[in-house]
Amino acid sequence: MKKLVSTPRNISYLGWVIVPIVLVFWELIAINIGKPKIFPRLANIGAALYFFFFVKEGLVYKDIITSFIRALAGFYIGSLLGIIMGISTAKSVFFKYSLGRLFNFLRAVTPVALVSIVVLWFGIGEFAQIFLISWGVFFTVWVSVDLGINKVDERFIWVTKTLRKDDKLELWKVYLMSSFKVWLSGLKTSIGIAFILVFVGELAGATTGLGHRISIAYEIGRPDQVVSGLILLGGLGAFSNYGFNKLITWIFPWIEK
Amino acid sequence: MIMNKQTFINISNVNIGYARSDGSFNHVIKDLNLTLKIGESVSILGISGIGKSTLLHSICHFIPIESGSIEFFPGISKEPRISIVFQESTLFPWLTVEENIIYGDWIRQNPDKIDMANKLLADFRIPNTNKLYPKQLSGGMKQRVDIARAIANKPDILILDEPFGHLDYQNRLQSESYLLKVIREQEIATLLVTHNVEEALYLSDYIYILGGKPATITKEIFVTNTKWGSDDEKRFNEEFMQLKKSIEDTLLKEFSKYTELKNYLNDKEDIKNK
Repeated sequence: MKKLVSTPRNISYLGWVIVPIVLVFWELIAINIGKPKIFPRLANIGAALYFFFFVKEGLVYKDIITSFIRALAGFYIGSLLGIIMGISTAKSVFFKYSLGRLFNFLRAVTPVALVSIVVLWFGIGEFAQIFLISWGVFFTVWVSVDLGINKVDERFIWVTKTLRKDDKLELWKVYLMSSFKVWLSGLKTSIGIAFILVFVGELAGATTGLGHRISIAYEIGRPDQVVSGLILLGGLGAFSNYGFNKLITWIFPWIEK
Repeated sequence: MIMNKQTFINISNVNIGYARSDGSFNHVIKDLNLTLKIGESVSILGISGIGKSTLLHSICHFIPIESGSIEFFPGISKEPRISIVFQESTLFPWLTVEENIIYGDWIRQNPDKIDMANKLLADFRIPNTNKLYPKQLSGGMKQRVDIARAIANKPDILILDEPFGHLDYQNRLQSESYLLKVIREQEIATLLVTHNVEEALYLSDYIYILGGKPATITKEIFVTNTKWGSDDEKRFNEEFMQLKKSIEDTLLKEFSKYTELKNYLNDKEDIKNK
């Protein structure tokens, strides 16, 4: 389809202009402060990144992959359970009043506050990390699926009931597909949450991953390494968002933007 | 000729209502009687909020009735095929135009369903849109695909709930004329709810006016459309326009009973009398 209003070319490049401006500001502030041990200059950060990637070969790749896999696993488990539970609480009065009530209470507990107890119970390791991420993702996805299915336009259901009589399976499909747009936004939000929790979890209870790398860098007084770790973590999150959006428009070309 | 046709729906002494949240009962439709014969087209007119859509939804079994009966094919017990079209498009966004059209049970069992879908798209002047998704169509096109989907399932009754309410005037005229052609050709019984009197006159054999609270049929108008010339001409026929005007006046009076407009109309009368 032809776009009626397209973004002007000169504006679409704005994103590439703003990054150098931010970098220049950063450098100016760093020069002004003059304490690279507190506020590193761009050269220090660059050197730290170089060190990560080329001197201590492999280490940073391992960190990135570890963090990414944790986020992915937590996202996968959390959203899968969230979707199943969302359907259950939306379509069954029994689940709505039993599990629904419980979830609404647990949802109010910030997953960040759970870090200490999770580490205490499950120790330092993959299980604790993935549990924490799944927890955060689960509630976000559960709320959006529950809401989406409750808000399905009943005319879609009516049309299905008249055109496909007694086709229960199709009716389920219509419930899911017509609420898809609502719970897609829940999935998108939970990608961000997954990366917050990757970082928080690794900061407190891990011996690998980008969060752990950043925490070590802080302890040994290397803000340049802290900042480069943050850059990598942000890049990983942005990449995941981008990839997810591409994947969704590829699998579901019918979705309206 | 219409007189000899077989009765298709028999609605007798139907009462419809629902319980309000405070426990009281809201009586919407009272003792309504209506019959519809095969191939006939009937419109229901009435002011907004009077219960037109409620009646349609009851006929489709979406809303239960309190008392009375809605009988399809009286005498023969046969499940009717019902197709419904709403004011806003209800095309499934995850299906292409073609998949939407061949969605119904009846057409799915048909081996040349694709040909039928193509023919319907051509009838409604939207050919070559088969592989597009609804998001790629304009509002007018979507509404026509909606009607094509409803007709593709070969309904015994086509129920239209303000189907062209969202369309602009030009699109509305065009869609109405395609619809009329198809329902005539295929002899589909049609039940139309609308607030547009011209649309009702153009598309129907009979017009029923709902009035009162709770509502019932207050007026039945047989629309003689043979004398008014061809379908394209009849809108501009003198009698057509007079009938339209008189129905519009009836509705306006009904409307004024329940609203502020009452005072406005009275003032107007007073001025006239002076």
